[in-house]
Amino acid sequence: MEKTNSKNWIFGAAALLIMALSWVWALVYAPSEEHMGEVYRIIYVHVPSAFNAFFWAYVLCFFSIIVLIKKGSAASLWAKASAEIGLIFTVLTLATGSIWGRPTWGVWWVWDARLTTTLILALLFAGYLILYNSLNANSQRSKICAVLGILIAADVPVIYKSVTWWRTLHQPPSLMRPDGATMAPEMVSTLIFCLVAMLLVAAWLLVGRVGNLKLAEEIEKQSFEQAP
Amino acid sequence: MTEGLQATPYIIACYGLAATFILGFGAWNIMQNRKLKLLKQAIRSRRD
Repeated sequence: MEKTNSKNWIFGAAALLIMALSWVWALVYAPSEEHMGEVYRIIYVHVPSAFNAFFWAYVLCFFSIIVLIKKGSAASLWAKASAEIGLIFTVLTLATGSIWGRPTWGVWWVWDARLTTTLILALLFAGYLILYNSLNANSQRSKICAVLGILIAADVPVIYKSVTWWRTLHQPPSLMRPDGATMAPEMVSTLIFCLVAMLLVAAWLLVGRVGNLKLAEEIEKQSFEQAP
Repeated sequence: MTEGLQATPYIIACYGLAATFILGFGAWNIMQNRKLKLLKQAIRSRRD
């Protein structure tokens, strides 16, 4: 247990250091953007946050499927931790997007398809966690939450495609386009660096959270055994 | 230069918010881990 803890500490410190370096790179060395100017540097926090939100929604879906296949496994704890990390990054995406929207669009919020579908994702993650915590720990809870966990992932392609399906204020994709990225190669490489760094930090948060959930479950079992 | 200065509060707000979210959740995780370990130890010693 102690060895696992120290490994987690080293991994966490390394991930945070890489993320700090990626931010220094994004703020100091990445080139300036022609139309938006310096404020575009928010992209290096906003896009990695959005990628993480989507990624953890798919991880939640994956563990939810495992829960349904292998009953009584620890996958439900991994699923719950994924939903927590997903919620954090979805809220961060909405907040950074809102801050970026003020100087570029002139508004903090608009009921645009991209923003609204992302808000729905945040509400779905929150709903999953409320449901998980409000039900008694049994196989029925695992099943109900697993079904919701799978449904949440269905919102991700809708969010991604919202800018092409509907007329939105949000800009269309500039990276994953059939005719190639519209960003300068230096900007793309910085963005990928920031994205990988944030993904590593999120993975560290997830491992720590799962460790705590397992520990809490053990304590609950022990206290039940001791009860007169 | 002026444009850069105008953008600074928005950039600081975004990076600061991200750092607060990530470090805050990480710190909460670590503190909860310590609390749970102490609780587990207390339950074990009471049983012994």
